Amino acid sequence: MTGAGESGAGVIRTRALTKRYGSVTAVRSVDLEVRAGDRYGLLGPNGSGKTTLVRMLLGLVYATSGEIEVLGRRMPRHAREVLPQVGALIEEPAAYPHLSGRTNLALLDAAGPGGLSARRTRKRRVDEALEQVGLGGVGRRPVKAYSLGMRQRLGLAGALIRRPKLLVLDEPGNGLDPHGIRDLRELLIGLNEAGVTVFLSSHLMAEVEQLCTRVGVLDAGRLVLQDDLAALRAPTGRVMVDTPDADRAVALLDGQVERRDGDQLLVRPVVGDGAAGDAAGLNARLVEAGLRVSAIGPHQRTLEEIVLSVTGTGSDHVGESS
Amino acid sequence: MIRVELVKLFRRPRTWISLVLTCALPFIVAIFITITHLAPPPGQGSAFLSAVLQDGELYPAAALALVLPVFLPVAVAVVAGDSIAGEAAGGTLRYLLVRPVGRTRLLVAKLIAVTAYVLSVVLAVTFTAYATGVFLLGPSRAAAVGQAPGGTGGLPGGGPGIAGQAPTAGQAAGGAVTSLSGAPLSLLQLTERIGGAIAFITVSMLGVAAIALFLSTITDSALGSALGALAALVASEILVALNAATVVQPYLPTRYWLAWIDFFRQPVFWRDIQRGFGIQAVYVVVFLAAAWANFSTKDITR
Amino acid sequence: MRRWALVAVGVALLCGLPVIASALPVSVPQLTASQLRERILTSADESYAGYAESNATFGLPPVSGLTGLTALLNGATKMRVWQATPSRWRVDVLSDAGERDTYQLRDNTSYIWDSGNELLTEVRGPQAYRLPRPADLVPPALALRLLSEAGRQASYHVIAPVRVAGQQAAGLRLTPTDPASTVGRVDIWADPSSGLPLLVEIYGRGLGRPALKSQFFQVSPWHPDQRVLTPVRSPGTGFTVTGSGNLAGALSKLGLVALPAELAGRIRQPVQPGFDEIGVYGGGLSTFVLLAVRGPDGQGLISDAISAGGAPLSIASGPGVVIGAPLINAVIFRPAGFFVTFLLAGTVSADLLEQAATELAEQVTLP
Repeated sequence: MTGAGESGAGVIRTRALTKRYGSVTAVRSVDLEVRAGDRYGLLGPNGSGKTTLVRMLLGLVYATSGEIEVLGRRMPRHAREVLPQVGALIEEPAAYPHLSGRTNLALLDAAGPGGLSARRTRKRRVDEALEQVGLGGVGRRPVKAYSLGMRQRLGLAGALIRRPKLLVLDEPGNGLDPHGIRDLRELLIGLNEAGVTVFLSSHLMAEVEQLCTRVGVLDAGRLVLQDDLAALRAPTGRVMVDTPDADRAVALLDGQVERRDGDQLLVRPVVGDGAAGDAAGLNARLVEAGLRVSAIGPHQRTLEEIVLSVTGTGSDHVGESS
Repeated sequence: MIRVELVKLFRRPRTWISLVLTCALPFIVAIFITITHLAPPPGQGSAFLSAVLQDGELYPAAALALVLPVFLPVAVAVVAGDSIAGEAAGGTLRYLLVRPVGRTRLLVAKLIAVTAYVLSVVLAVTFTAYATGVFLLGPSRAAAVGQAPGGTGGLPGGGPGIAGQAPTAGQAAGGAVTSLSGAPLSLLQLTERIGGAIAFITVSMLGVAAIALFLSTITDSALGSALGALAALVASEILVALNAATVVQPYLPTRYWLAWIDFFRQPVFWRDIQRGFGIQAVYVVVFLAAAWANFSTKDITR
Repeated sequence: MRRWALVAVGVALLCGLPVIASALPVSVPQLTASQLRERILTSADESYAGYAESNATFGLPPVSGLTGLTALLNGATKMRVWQATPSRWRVDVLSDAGERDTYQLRDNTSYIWDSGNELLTEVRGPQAYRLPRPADLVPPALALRLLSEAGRQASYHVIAPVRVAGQQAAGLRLTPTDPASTVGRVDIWADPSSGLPLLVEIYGRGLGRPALKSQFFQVSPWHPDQRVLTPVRSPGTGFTVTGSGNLAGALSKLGLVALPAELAGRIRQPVQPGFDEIGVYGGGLSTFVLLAVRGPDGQGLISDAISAGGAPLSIASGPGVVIGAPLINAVIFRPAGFFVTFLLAGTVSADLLEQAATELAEQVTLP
């Protein structure tokens, strides 16, 4: 699942990053690490500090203490060198409503650095970005006539027009219909495979689970978890069994059943008991004993389970609306 | 960046609506004066308005006097107050800043865009008023021959004075406009003077613009910052009119607003004009610095 | 926070500049009072150009027929001045949207341009006993008049120098010796080298604020330019010619009465031929004039003055009024049985004017 690019090189790195607003601490000593080629998903309920963290990475909000490094340079001191290589979508997209999407993109690009060389390639880059997000045909309409989803796509196009090395997307799926979400996912995976590091924040776990290679979880301003999704979801060594003869199965696998939930059993097979400690071995053993098995397979934790296991009471909203 | 700001400004419908409205006021006034032939008596009403029935070419000056006290500052406060606060409220500010656009650069670009706006409004008013003056009110006319005792009692030893002027009164009709000091102004001189007045009025608005820009970095409400700047202006105008406040008057932003009239004196009276330029420069420096201090350290949370 | 401190320091510097500039020490060469006085008196022929403002708080009530005068003596007047010689100069009185310019071409010819009426007026004839005009308030003109009026009836001494219009100016104070004078003191600051007066303050007796202050805000030596000093008439403007206005003309309808040679101990000064109806008594900074106004206009003067705040009184069993202002006192009265109203006004105490009025009522006879 890991994308292109050498892993290990830090694209975003923060150390003890803290932001206080008066007596309220929005972000508390966060050590974020995003490596080149990652598709990093920052999860957390609304109000957990995701947006503040994203804004600090981009130099919009100044940290109270701690350090930020983006693409190897300190932020916000080197914003002028760093930010041209970063595409960003921060909360909702925004555009000048009386201008067309195309003009908005051209103006946004012209506001940035680059001078003449940027100007020469501007039209091509604008066309390309609009094409990438599927707005190729409507770029000339004024933005006030755009739907919410179209605005979101336009915002994404704005993030792409400088062909960034790093994409920082804050809740990129907002306002998109399921079709749009799928388009977005395919676009991001495609960009990532072409070498772009993607950092996105979301409160939708399903979205992150389907897209990301690495996950961080923010809870009440603290980064409570940060790891590769593959490692988090590695098989636990337990086997999930779904059987209508659950009572008999429990009796048969005496002591090996860790949890029972109706017909579902979570089993930790004992190795060397005449059978291999995997699903196939367990299945053979159950069938041998004449038990019916509806489904069986190695056990993996869902992202939801993982997140819920590390977050405290503030995580009520996580996953609710996914 | 400046080009971007100008495009944003001039592709905005509001800019053009305010421009047209500002030009419409002198036009309406001119229509009424033409129909009724009732100019305000000398020394009353807006400056130069009493003279425009004689000198249609002077109408740009009268028009500037009409829009200067209220229309122009309101338009400037609205545009400048919107400059940062409007972008913040619309959400576009954060996208500009991560482009990246330096915050100081953005402030300066905004002030330049506001200046360009003022200049275009003032120029538009001047040109429409010139056309209005010439076509509606008619070019300047000589006094009826009988009214002036041409040449009689001419200036003893006056050289190019009255004795020389009186006979030319007829042929000079339409060519010369009377300055406030009585001496005629040639078309070239008039153009220079109006050019000076345009420059002065534009600069006079920069103090308001800087105040509004500063307030615009403090609040996310474009309306709030525009009203704040206008409140500062009204306070200044009240103090300028108050004799008891003489001590602070030289430091008030509106103290020298009327000094553009001094361009139409002969010779030009530079003292208040220079001070007007100076005080606006001070206001621009102070409030731009304050805006910079506030904006460059501010967390952008919208 | 550091940036705010930077801004605060900058603002403090900007605001402090005028304060620092005005606090700079002033030093002028040592001159005795009589040397300085001489120097000022010889500066009359200086050519200069500048901008001056006068501020008067005479507190005179508005008198019909004299509104121009009362406006001049009750408020601020802004003047642009160009002077080649004492009889060739131009003074523009500036208002927000216009100006009123006086061009003095020769002793007996001047032009007045009124931008409001777009009217150029030629004024011909000698200008003896005319009403005060703005040009009289320009610091050099005012100082020279005061010094020559005061003559030896005042004591002079040097006061601390000040900075006026960016120049260091030496100070001279004259104090009238006559206790009846309403003038407490006159302070004049002048350029120590040329003697050109830059600032004049006239204080009423016992008052802490000047009743009249006239000051240059900008002044420099000037090479006379005829184009500035010569009125040019623009096509389309009006033009008229009048005789010179004088005090008699402003009040009109003067009665011809034989005026006494002495009143309240003050001798009547000789007047120029043709002005016999004007009585000038005393001299220097304690002078008063006497005018006789015939007919109902005179009665109007009394009621005008009372409604404007004058104190009514009765002299020789006729109606009268006394007006007290910081520098000028006036008594207007009509003796019983007369068709003539007398006006006494000058820079002397009201008591002295009342005494003069009483003596006048006893001495005067109908012609």
